[in-house]
Amino acid sequence: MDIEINVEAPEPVYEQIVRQIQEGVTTGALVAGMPLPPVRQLANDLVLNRNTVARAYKLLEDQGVIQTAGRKGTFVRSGAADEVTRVKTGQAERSVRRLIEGLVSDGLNTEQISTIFQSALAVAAKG
Amino acid sequence: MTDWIDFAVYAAFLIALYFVQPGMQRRIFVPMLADRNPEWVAAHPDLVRGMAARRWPFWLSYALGTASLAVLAGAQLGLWQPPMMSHGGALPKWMWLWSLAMDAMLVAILVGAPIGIASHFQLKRLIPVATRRQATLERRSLDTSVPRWIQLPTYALVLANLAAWLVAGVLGTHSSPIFWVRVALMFFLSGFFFMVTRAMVARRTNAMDRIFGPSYRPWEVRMTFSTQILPPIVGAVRLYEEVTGTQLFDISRAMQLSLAALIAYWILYMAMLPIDHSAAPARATTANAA
Repeated sequence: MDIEINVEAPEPVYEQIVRQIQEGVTTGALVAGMPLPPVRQLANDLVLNRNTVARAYKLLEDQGVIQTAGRKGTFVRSGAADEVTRVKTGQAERSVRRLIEGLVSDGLNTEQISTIFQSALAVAAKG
Repeated sequence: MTDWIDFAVYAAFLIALYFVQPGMQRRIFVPMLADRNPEWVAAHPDLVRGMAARRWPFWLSYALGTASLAVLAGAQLGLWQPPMMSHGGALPKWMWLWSLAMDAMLVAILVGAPIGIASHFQLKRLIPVATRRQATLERRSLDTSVPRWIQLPTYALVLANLAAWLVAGVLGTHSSPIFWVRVALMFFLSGFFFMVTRAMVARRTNAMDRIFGPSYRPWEVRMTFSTQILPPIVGAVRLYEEVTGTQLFDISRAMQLSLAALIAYWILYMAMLPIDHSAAPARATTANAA
């Protein structure tokens, strides 16, 4: 699997790496036990500072997506797909909660917010 | 008669160095620019065409190559006399041919390196690095290029060679006064070739990998891995000489010919490698720009 970064994108580079590895796990391109390149290799190939890649790996490790086994290197963790789903769900919940709080502070009541959500979901379902 | 074999090998080496290698550089010049920044290449077609049309480095290389071949041929045909050695005798012809080939290579380096370095920095200044960059998430290892069943016997052979030299040293069954220098050299070369192979596996992905496609690095790693067999071969012959006090055959001459043939093969192989146009979109941009 290849990874692509854009250093001029608004999304920080380390988050681009995290997101693409998470996507790889979700789509099955990266399966449990699969070795990942060392920080040095990935940083060299992407012409990035090693700290950027190390930060991405640290975040993925904290999320339970990958694990580092000393000199053996870094591997995709078993159950990584579930962890990615859990992380994504958590992020979505936080985003929705922030959005609802904003709407409430704008003066909308629960019923109105619910109607907006139902309508938005219906539009999304139609594609 | 055997001098003609030396001459043929060194002539092939010079042809590869001065005539084939510049052609290869010319072939990959625009793909290399596109690899650095395809958008820039697409946006500056006239500039790229102008840079690709520069011919003077090639004519310079062809002129030096022709002169080098003429000197080598003159030496082989006896048009000029070989230099004298310090003890008074004339330098053997095979050694003279080797010396001329290496002098020609030195000239190529002295002339080519400044041109290459200047060109590198000029392009670096002119073309910004692409903002989009790709890398593989596959971990590179020696195993992906060289199977374990080849690695293990090779390392065993390397270690056996080093052990044999140490045993001969401890038992005192050597005859040359420079025995321990040779032991040190054997350790140095074994370690050096091992490290070079590791470096090839770990090196940063560069334009060549993308221009020649995914089979390029494994080929490069296999070539450098195969050099690890050289110390055991030289070591076995030299150790035989040390222990018996007799010369089996001229290993120096064989190694010199092998080295020249290996470099010539390397250049010729790379000159014939097809450019992988499917490897990255940059190549399509390049083809249009060129």
